Amino acid sequence: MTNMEREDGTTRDDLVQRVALMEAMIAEGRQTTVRFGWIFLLWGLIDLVGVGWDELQPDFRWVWPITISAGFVLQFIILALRRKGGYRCGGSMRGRSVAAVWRMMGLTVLLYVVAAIVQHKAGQISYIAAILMFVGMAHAISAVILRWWAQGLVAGVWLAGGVATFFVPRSYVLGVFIAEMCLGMVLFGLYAMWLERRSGAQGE
Amino acid sequence: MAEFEQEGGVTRDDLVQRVALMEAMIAEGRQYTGRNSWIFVLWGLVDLTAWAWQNYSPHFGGRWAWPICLAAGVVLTFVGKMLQKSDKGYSRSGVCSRVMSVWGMMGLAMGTYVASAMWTHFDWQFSYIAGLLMMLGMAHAISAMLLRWRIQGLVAAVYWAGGVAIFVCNSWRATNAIMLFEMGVVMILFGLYAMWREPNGSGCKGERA
Repeated sequence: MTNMEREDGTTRDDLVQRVALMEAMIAEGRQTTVRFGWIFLLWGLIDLVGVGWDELQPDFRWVWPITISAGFVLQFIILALRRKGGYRCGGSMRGRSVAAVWRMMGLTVLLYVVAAIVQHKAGQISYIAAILMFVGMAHAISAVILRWWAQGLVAGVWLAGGVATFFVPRSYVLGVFIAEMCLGMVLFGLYAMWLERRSGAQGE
Repeated sequence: MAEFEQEGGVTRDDLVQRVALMEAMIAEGRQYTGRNSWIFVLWGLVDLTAWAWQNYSPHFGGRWAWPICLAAGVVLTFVGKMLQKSDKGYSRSGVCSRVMSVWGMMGLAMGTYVASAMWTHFDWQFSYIAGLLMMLGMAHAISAMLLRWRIQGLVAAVYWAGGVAIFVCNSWRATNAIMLFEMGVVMILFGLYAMWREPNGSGCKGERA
C-alpha cells in the first residue's frame, strides 16, 4: 500500500503510528488495573468476612469499623511490600486517569460509609444500593477509558446489583450484596491477577 | 539554558514539548467542561423547579414533580447536546474523551439509581439523598484530578461535605436546605463559572497540539 498524503499533510504512516501509540497507552492503562487486581480480591474477601461476622454477632456494633480498618491496614502493608519488590503505578496519562478514578471512588465510599455507620443509617436499602452504584460507576468509567469490555461487564453487574437492591424483598438484599462481592470483586480480582501472571509469563 | 541529553536520549526540548502537549490537553479538557457547563446550569434549574413545585404546589401534582422535571431535564440535555454536535469543527482530545466518559457514566449510574429509588418509593431515605451528593462529588473529583482543576476539586469537596452533613444533621429540614444549596446554588454557580472561564466559546476546535 502506498504512503499517501492527505489534505492536512498527515501520511498513512503517521496515522498508523498514532493508532499504535493509542493502543499502547490503552494496554498500559489496562496493565495498571491488572497490576492492582489483588485489591479487588482483598476487598471482596474483607467484605465477605464482615458480612459473615455480622451474621454471627448481629449485636456487636464494631464489626464493620474493625473489618474496614483491617482492610486498609492490609492494603497498605501489601502495597508497601510490592513497592519494595519494584512495583510501580503506571506512568502514562491513561494509567494515571484510571488511578484517579479508583482513588476518588475509594474516598467517596469511605466518607459515605463512615458517615452512615456513625449515624446508624447503614441498614437503609438506599445505602447499600448507593455503594454498589459507586463501585459500578468507577468500573464503568475505567472500562470506557480503557475500552475494556470485560470491565464494562463487571460495571453492568454492579449497576444491576444496585437496581436489584431496591426491587428484591428485604431478606434477599444480603444475597445480592454477597453475589456482588463474589462476582464483582473476588472473581474480577482473580481474573485481573490471572491476566497479570499471563502477561508476566509472556514478558519472560 | 544549554540543551542537555538524558540517559534515555531524551533532550530538554523533547521534555518541554511533552509538558506543553500535556498542558494543552488539560486546557482543552477544561474548555470542553466549560463548553458543556450549560448542562450544570440546566440541571440546577431543573432541580430548583422540581423542589419549588413539590414544596409550594404540593396539591398540583406534587407527587409527579420530580419524575416530570427529571424527564424534562434528560430531554433538554439530549436536545442541547444534539444542537451542539451539529456545530462544525467539533473535536475532542484524549482528556476530553475521559472527562466525557466520567460524566456519561455518572449520568448512567445516577439515572438508574434515581429511577429505581423513585419506582420503589425509597427516595425518602437520608442515605438516598446523601448517595446522590456523593456520586456528584465523585464525578467532580475525578474530573478535577484529570484536569488538575482546583476549583472543581473544591466543588467536589462541597458535594461530599453535603452528603456527610445529611447524615450528621439527621433531620428533614436540614436535608431540604442542603439539597437546595447543593443541587441548586452550587450546580448553577459552578456552571456559570465554567461558562465564564471558557474563552469566547472557542472550545476544543482548532486548538489541538
